[in-house]
Amino acid sequence: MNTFPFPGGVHPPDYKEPTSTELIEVAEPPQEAVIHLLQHTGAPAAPLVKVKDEVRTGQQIGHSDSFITASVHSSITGTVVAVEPRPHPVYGESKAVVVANSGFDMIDYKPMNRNWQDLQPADIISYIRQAGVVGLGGAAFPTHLKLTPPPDKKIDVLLINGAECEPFLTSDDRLMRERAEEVVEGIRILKRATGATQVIVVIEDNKQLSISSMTQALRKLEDSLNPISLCVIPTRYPQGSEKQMIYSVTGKEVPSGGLPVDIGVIVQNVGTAFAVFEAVVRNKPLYERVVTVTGDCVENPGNFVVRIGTPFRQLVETAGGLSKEPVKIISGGPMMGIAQYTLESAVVKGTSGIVLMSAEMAKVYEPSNCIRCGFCISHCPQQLMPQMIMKLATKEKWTEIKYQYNLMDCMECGCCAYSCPAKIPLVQWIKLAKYKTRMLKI
Amino acid sequence: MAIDITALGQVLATLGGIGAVMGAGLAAASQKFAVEIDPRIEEALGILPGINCGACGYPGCSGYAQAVIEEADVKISLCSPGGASVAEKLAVITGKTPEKTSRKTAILKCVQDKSKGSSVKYEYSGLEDCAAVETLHRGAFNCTFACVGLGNCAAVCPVDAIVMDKGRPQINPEKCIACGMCVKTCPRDVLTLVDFPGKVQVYCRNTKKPNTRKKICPSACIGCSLCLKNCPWDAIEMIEMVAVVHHEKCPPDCEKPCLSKCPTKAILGR
Repeated sequence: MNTFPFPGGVHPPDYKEPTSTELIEVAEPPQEAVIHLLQHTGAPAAPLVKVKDEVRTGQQIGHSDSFITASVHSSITGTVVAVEPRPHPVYGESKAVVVANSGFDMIDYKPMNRNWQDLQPADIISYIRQAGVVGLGGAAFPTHLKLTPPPDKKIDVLLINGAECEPFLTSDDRLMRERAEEVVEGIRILKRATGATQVIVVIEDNKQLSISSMTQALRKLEDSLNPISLCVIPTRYPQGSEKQMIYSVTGKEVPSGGLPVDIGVIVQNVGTAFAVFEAVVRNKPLYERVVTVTGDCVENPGNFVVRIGTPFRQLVETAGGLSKEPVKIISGGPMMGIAQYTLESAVVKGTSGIVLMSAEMAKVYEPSNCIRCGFCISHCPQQLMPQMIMKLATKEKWTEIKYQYNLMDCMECGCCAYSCPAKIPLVQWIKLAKYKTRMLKI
Repeated sequence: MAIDITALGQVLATLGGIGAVMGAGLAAASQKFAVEIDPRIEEALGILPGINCGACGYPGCSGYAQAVIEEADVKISLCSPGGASVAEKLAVITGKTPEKTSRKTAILKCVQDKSKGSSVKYEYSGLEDCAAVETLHRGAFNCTFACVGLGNCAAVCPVDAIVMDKGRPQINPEKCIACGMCVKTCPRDVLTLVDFPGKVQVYCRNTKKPNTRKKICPSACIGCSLCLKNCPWDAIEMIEMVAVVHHEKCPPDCEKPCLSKCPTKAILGR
């Protein structure tokens, strides 16, 4: 298949060897699950339970009437011990339902083997909404909303994102290798729900085993009238980013400030496809996901199916504990992930992995002056000018940054800061500018 | 080389002639198209301190001078660095009645100090900017109401009244002109303007559960209400379990029992 190389990008060392060979293991449910009510992009859910209530695995515990939101389900069986703010891996602190495990795992939903081929697209989307499925690639946008485009727009192309370009993370890679048939079933369900005419699974060329297992699964479950194609794209960060992937595969650019659906494309992660399969066919709400636990401080790095709400501390114990003292703990990958200040943070739906780095791996560089080499500009996949944004941010010219230098098109992929020879924290400047424009309502 | 006197004369005559015509034209234009400027604006600008701090809400002193003369509803007391004396002089020029003003000063409503045991979430390395650390899990301190201590206020202060000392801004109330720039730039609203000289203040804004406050900061207001019980004038109120002093009820000769009774020294008479 013909591909279109996107501008910019970097080639960071991928550090995927320690976990890409590890089978997905099912982790023990935690003794205490901290289930955040804000696990998705949008409005936080309101708790449906109160302290001392008994909950079962898969029982809905959070609901909101807002438009952009997703339901939250309990991941273990037990008693609610608190509904209070707890450390959140992305938002610092947010309201969570804390459930103490009773030791018995009793499910609240009816497991089945539903024949999705008989379902109408609206029914499929309603099952997905009930199960609280969100995009599992990291941004956690509610999937049912992505599948329901505005009435004047039509989805022609459905891309399935199996690029996993972030270093360290292997959860999608392992999922494609071990659960390829379920993922393909999920893709076929998504295809029916969207009515897309063209469905393309996109995988980076450094995941040859995923490519072969997905090819086999596609061949086995193929729909001869409307085949699902597989596109292998060259490995380059940030290939897994939505807009870069669309450009690589279709050659179309998403307009600035627009959404992929504006050009008739949507992108879903392979993890989301798997969750959709479980929600629609197995009737199972999204209460567990595959998380990679890795880094040079972990004794036995690996990929684990963990319950949502498992504290990071227990996740590290599942992976054999710490071999040395970490100085940096990142939720997500090292390029776009968020550094954590405590291991009390809990897994949310968007947590694809945690990386624990020792002092020698997480080197801190002293930034020096910008030498105007332009590396940040040539490596920016969104073709922005990070050094000008930085320069203007020091002068507090927020309006110019936002409207002349297209601040909001930045997705904070980190290519500029990674390529900067002066080690200027450019992404932090950009985040600061975004915070300032939000605060000053520019 | 000989100088051609006639040619030189022609050149001088031509250029001089052009100059004379242009000058006459400009003189006529300046008469005909003259812009009326109220001379009082110049006068008002002379009275204003001229440090362009922006406290009045106008772009610099000239902006305020123009507004105060031309617009009837612009108050004459907006210049906080100038204080009462500038307001009086402006009253003479504009004919507006001066209203009562009091001198103010900025204070830091936080007693948190890392060296005294206020607990820290993480070691921060990155941009030296309060707003930048505020975006990372809401600051490096466990208290989300505390001063983040990277000195944005000291950087914007037009009169250098704020000096950073071991991650805490030290405000010199004598130098402070109460322009409010630090209050505007602070991402946490931990700086406020109060009457000068400082009266009794509660230097804590933590409205979280009282039993959690002392764990993260030994100097926090723990909501014990001892100040309230010992105040003979009923001048202290608990709002969200944090003491708030109503200065209008404070008599000038009070012995300030609230200061000595506070177990954490969150209430100070600075």
